[in-house]
Amino acid sequence: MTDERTEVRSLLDAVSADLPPTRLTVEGICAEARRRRARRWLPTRTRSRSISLPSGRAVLQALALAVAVAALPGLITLALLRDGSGNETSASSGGVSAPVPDVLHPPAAAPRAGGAGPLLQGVLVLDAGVVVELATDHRTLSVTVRVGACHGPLELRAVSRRAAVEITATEDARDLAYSAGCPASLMSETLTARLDQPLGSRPIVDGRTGRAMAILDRLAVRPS
Amino acid sequence: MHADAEALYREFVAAELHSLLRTAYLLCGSWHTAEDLVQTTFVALYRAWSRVETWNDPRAYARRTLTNAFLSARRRRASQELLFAELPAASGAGQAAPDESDLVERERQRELLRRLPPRQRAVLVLRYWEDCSVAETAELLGISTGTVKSQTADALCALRRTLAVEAAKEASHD
Repeated sequence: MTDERTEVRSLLDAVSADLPPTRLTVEGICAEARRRRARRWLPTRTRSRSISLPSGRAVLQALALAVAVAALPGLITLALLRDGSGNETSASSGGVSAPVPDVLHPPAAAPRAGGAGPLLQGVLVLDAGVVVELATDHRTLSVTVRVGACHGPLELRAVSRRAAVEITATEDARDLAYSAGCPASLMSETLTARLDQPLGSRPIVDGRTGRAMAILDRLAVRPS
Repeated sequence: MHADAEALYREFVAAELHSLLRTAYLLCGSWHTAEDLVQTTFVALYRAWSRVETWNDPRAYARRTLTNAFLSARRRRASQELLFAELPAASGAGQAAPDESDLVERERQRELLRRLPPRQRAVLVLRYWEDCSVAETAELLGISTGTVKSQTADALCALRRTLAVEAAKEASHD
């Protein structure tokens, strides 16, 4: 038994003998731990809807909620879009499993999300170079954006108005879960939304800037 | 966290970082995954530090968290990436270059360990590297003591079988 123990231990010792130097530092670990602890007070999608905490923590939770709302105006934008003046439809990009960035402490070297422009408080600015693809049903809108490898789930929202259709691409950065950084690479991602009624002759505008978007009408370019 | 408690936490991290990294590497067989697991462990420990520091053995908590993180990561098969400003140094940087036969032997030993299923590897590491008893190993892995014994026996049997096959191959080559 002792021989067996010695034998296995020497095998394990040999296997882990010449490991490379680690990039983890005490400082880095402590800083990450503090950040993660602070994030625990940020409300998640479910918590913000049903707050039923013990009375002792209710005040702290309310304070944290207020701080979170102030820090993420992108969420406010989402709320404003639901003002009832238009028919809102949305569809997420789906299947986003990459770690998400820390919006409060974004890694400096990692590229952030952006259609062809910068990420502003959780809402992507869709630059003039971004083309909205209109499917043959004249209801399904698709936008391809370039985003960093560590981003939150992206969502394209379309609000139908009488004069135009407003689209807004947002990043949900509430479920913060990534550990230390992001790969410095860009990914292409296609976001889709579906309108209740066909687009018709209405223009599509960026909900954030009000700028008219270029449209690629698949029905018009369909080969006969 | 109170300043005194934070100071104790930092001391603990400094003292246990390399030991936990080594254990994590033995568990998962990947250096970068080991770093992820250890960071996850220390972050979890920070959250629980106000409770842990009053316990007799915070290392036991860290070891349990590390084991759980390893098994969970295996289940999720999640991939995480860390962004570094510089490329990681090569293995053994700054040390004298090891002999080629040593490298081959070490790689062979790593491969032996890698071939074991995760739970068998975890049992071996906890019992023979971390010197846990059968009962402690069972508690850490959330399995029965009987399963720990059978997994240990299976792992040792698999190691011996692989070594015997390799020895036979070498003999036939000679």
